[in-house]
Amino acid sequence: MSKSNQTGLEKLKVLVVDDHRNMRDLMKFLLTGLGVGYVSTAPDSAAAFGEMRAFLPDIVFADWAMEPLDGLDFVRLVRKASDSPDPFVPIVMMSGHTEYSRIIEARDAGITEFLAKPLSAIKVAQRIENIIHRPRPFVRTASYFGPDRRRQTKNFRGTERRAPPDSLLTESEINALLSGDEDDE
Amino acid sequence: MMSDEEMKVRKMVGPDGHPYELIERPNKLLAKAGGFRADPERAARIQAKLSVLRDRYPDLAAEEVVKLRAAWRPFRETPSDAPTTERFATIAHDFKGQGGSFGYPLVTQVATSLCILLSYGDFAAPKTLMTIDLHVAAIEAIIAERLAGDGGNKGRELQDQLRVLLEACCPRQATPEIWRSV
Repeated sequence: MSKSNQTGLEKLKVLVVDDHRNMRDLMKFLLTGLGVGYVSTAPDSAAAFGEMRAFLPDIVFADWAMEPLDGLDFVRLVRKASDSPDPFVPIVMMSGHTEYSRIIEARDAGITEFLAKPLSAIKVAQRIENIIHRPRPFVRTASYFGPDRRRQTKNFRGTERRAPPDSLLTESEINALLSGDEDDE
Repeated sequence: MMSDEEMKVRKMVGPDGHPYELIERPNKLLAKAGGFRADPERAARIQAKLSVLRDRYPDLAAEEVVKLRAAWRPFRETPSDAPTTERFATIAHDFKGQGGSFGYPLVTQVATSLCILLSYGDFAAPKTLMTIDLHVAAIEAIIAERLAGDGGNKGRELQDQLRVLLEACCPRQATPEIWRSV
């Protein structure tokens, strides 16, 4: 890549976990286009766990719908297993499930970012930018280990309310997870 | 991985009285890739280059279309069987995620509607099963006729018809939450 074409991601290592080969190819295409220097892929959670040890990714993009272990199982394993290669690695969950209950479930498993399908280059770029420039501290409680689940949101107007009613997240925070949008503060 | 010495662990107590640890670590990614910013112009150029993959998508999806139709048949016979419905819904969900990613947003729209029917539809109602069948046929047609983008007039007409059918099966007033994604 010529110097003028550099994006700042030339040293970054990204692992993509998806059981559909065409989606792995698509992500590789998008990440390489964004200038990511090293992209590795894995077809399932078990292979991804192994690849994490060998490849030592800076960021992992994992699909939700996989078998036999789905993306949430993978996140829980990475965050909590005693033999996890890196419990702190940023994980972006990719999914077509955008219902509130699903997003909360993903957040409670310990994801760093949520990437709603269909995928696009700008959405992937925004998630990477968030991870690099707006990292969140980790939190350990009796039942949770992962990035702080509360996040700053911007441009929110109107009454703050939680959705659904039993959620720790406000509606604006859920929308922020979906859009990858948050404050610089 | 980072050593424990590099982490700052603070013992905290939440507003609910429960203790927790707040763990802060140096941001090593900033040193590695701090110059990166999401650039909409670059992203648009990458998106434009996706035409190669868009052209390949109907061939890649052909096998999945066959699987979708194959999953429909047992579902039609026993829609009350949860594993049968789940198999069918998983394939529909894959179309929802993949279509738009490869430049076929019409596939995503029809598959989203199909996922809603499979989650909230009343399978005892013949109109629901008929509507589901029509959604499968629509996905087959979009792929076979390579209706990329919004599919032009044909695509818009198809979408309008399916939306009316969906609303008849899953009325907006009864299921406002699901209509957020349509």
